[in-house]
Amino acid sequence: MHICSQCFREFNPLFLKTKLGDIDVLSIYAYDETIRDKLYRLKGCHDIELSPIFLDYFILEMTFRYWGYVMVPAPSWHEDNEKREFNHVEEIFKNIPLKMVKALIKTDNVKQADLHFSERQKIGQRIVIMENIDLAGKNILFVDDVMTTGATSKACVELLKKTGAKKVKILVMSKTIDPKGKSKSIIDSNHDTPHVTP
Amino acid sequence: MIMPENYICPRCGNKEIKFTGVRNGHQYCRLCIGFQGKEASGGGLFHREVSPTIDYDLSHDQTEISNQVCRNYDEGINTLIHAVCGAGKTELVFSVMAQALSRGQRVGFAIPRRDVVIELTKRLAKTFPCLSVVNIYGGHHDEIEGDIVVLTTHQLYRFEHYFDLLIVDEIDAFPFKGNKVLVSLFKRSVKGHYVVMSATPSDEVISLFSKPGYKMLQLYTRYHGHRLPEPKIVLLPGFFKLLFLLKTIWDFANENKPCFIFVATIERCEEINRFLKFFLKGGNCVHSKKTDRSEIIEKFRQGKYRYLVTTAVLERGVTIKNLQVIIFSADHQLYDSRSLVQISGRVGRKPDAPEGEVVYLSDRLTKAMEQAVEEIRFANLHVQTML
Repeated sequence: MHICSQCFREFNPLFLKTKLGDIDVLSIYAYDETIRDKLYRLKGCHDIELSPIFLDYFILEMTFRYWGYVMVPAPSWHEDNEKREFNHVEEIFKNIPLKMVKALIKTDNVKQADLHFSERQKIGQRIVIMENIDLAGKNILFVDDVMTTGATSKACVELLKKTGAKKVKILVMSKTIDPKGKSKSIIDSNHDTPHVTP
Repeated sequence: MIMPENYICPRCGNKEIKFTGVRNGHQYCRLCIGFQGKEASGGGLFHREVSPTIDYDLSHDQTEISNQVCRNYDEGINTLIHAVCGAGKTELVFSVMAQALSRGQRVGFAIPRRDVVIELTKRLAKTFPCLSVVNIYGGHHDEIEGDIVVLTTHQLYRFEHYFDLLIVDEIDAFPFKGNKVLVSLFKRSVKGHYVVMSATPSDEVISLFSKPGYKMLQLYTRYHGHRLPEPKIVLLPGFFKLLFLLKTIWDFANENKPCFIFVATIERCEEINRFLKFFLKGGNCVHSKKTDRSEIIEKFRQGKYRYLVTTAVLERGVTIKNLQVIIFSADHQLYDSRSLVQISGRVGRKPDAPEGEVVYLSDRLTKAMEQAVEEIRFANLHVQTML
């Protein structure tokens, strides 16, 4: 399914480039009302037909930008996927003609959205990398739908680096942006003294 | 993927292939997919004696219509109540609700707008003090079953074949009007019969209720027996409209009369508000993007503002004493005759201030404006012949 250009006017692509540690992050949209509504319809109402609309106009660009990379989708709890009958991150990014390797698994059902900043950092304990997957010497592109504090991405990227990947980059569909313009992420805050988000 | 030709959605009855999707090899309906949440199970109800407590008397016409509605419900006839703005529509169904409730039947009251749901819940709780009144709207659905369920029309998806008596008010209002999904969800939720109410029903609704098994009841008088204020049409070009607007509001402010200025779009609303503020302090604007809407309206009720610039959000369900109304650019395509009649119906709703002024301020005369004036005149003529 494609989105018509009239409806696409609601979307507001930003192509925001940030860094998470020493890793490049590209977020296509800001996590605004439009994205939230559409994502709710996709994830909460299980409307799989909506999944291609987010990247519809940027597939060619993404293909060239990340040519030679292997996509690794963010893990989600397997029972959620069974209930939903699909994995939304895979569905959103599957139209980019790059190889996709499902290398990460979530071992516990805890929603990052329900947690505070400091609790979010413990996500690393709940994600494991699949054995018998060889990513050594490869360029890896970690993909996710929403990035808030960057805790999940950071944990996943650290796991991926241990596999001996040559290069790791992050592509997120949307990123929450503070209204003050300062982004609420661990990128620019001190890791030892995390501030708790209200 | 070969899709079956004859897919019909079990919830909303959608038959069109273009509104369906395929997930894991199953076809699903995309038209009503947004309606997801807890659904009613249908617990037991018991018989009891119920009578509405109202601290005022119904007028002669109101009593007659109210009794007729009860008779229709007994005979299994669906009813449309066509009553002018400010006729006291809600009171008309209290007795039929009491009748159904004392038989231990399930009663629901649906309205398209959520502000009205909240208001009505308070009112029904006062009228039926010994019963539990539950309200459901977007973001408020912890409890969905009670003696009386007051809900927005969107929330009807939670009930399947449930209500013995369902009352739907303002069927001509957005978003219910012309929304096929909501209409089919409405039909799905009714087990027994329904009563729909409107001040300005569309021709399709009127023709539906002329069929056997349906009945239309008309009420042309307001509950206080006074006539509807007739709109005054003022035709002025461009900038003169603003001058006239300013002068009129100035006059109203001097006479201590609160005033609504209706404008078509949100941008225009802000513009006009900025313009008026420059000359006349003590006003504000209200539109759907304002988050503190209810507070502003509450302040206006208390008389802290002299005028309020508003979009169609305040078109319905607002009663303010001694209100005056100006429709700025009444020739805008957004206004059809129904919404003009609705807006005019804001004026003179209280028995101690039954008069008021309605001004259609516009560049040119449109058909909708003519029709609206005609409708109001027709209703007023009826009042005269009945007296």
